[in-house]
Amino acid sequence: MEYFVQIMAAIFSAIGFSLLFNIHGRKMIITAVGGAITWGAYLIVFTQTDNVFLACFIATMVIMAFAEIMARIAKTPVIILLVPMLVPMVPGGDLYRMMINLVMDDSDQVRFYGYKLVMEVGAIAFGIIVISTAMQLILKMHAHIKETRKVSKV
Amino acid sequence: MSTNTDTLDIINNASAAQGRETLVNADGDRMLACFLDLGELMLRAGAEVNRVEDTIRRIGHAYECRRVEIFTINNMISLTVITSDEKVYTQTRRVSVAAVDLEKVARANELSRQICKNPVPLDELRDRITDIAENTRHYGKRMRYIASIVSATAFTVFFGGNWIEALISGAVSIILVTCMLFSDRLKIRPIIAILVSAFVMTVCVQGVTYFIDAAAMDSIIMGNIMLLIPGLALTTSIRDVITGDTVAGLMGICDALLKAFAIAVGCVSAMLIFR
Repeated sequence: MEYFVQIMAAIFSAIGFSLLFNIHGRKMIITAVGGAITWGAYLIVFTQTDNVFLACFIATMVIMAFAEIMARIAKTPVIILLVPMLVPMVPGGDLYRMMINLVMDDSDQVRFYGYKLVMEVGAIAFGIIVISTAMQLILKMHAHIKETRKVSKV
Repeated sequence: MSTNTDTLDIINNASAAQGRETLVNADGDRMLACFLDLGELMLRAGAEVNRVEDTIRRIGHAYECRRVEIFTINNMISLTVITSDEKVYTQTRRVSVAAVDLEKVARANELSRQICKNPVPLDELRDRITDIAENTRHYGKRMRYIASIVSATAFTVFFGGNWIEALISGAVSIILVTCMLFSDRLKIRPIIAILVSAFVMTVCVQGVTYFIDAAAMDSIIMGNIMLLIPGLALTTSIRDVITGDTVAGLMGICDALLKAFAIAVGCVSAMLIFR
């Protein structure tokens, strides 16, 4: 039940952010679905492995792949779909927990949440890097194969 | 959109005979200004640096430039074009920050796709760029408020807040957006706007939760912080770094980190004052 509420909240936050970024119509529906997928993937990995880094990493990879595929279907830049879908992953909660512990003068907790924050941002960056690189490789190879075929035909 | 393509077809048919001619002999400086207008529009709307460079390079080649040398960072575009008759034109454009508007990026992308298939005369191109700049559909101010309320409420629930906290969060986000819109109008730099907004937001939340026992401030502040966090800047910058635009990417990442730091400073100072 708790997970269901979280996923619903992720959907609404994705919709809210697509409104803020001026995204319309079909693309907004895609981002809403993407928000659910992001948090669903995170929850699945997190409940199975209890590892925040892995959960962030895999969820980001899943959503990047989804964004790349949907962008090609909807014929729109990837970035448009990607940003609102990634929003539930942004570690605002840990930023806050770090700050409140800073105010409370609890340096152990500050270190713990600071570390977690860096790890989460790093995991998201890792995920984006892996899929972007893979995508570039695929596209370049596709172009290369096309090229060689053309040459061999001539 | 369909009317646009119709006019495009008519013009193409009419100028089929001298179409190529006009393209080649087009006034270079005007052509560059057009390209830079498009680049500036995309960059301001939140496109990645790589996309801007790629788009202008493609359009330049579509207009039969022999070489298109473009260098873009987050707030500047420098463009040099060597036309097919060996003339060299250079222009640079300083780009200031603006509101994120991904619909504009999508439309600019669409435009460049069409232009690359069949280049239209320069006047037509300029008209279509102005059309994107001015006539892109917007949600308007009221919708921005609604969007913020929806997001802030959703995030408060997301971080485990109860329904009273969610309601307060929605109400506080109205104040937050008012702050941001007001700083936009005053033309305050974004980083200061974020700092001040975070401060005001935290003060409000602390005031409200002081009087309402059923609400704790944690999830309310978390929900509203999410509205301020520069997620777009971070994502685009990481993608910029991978595509080889290291300078632009690092600039963007630095900017995003500074903004996150500004949020922290705003919130922490408010908490320290009202501890």
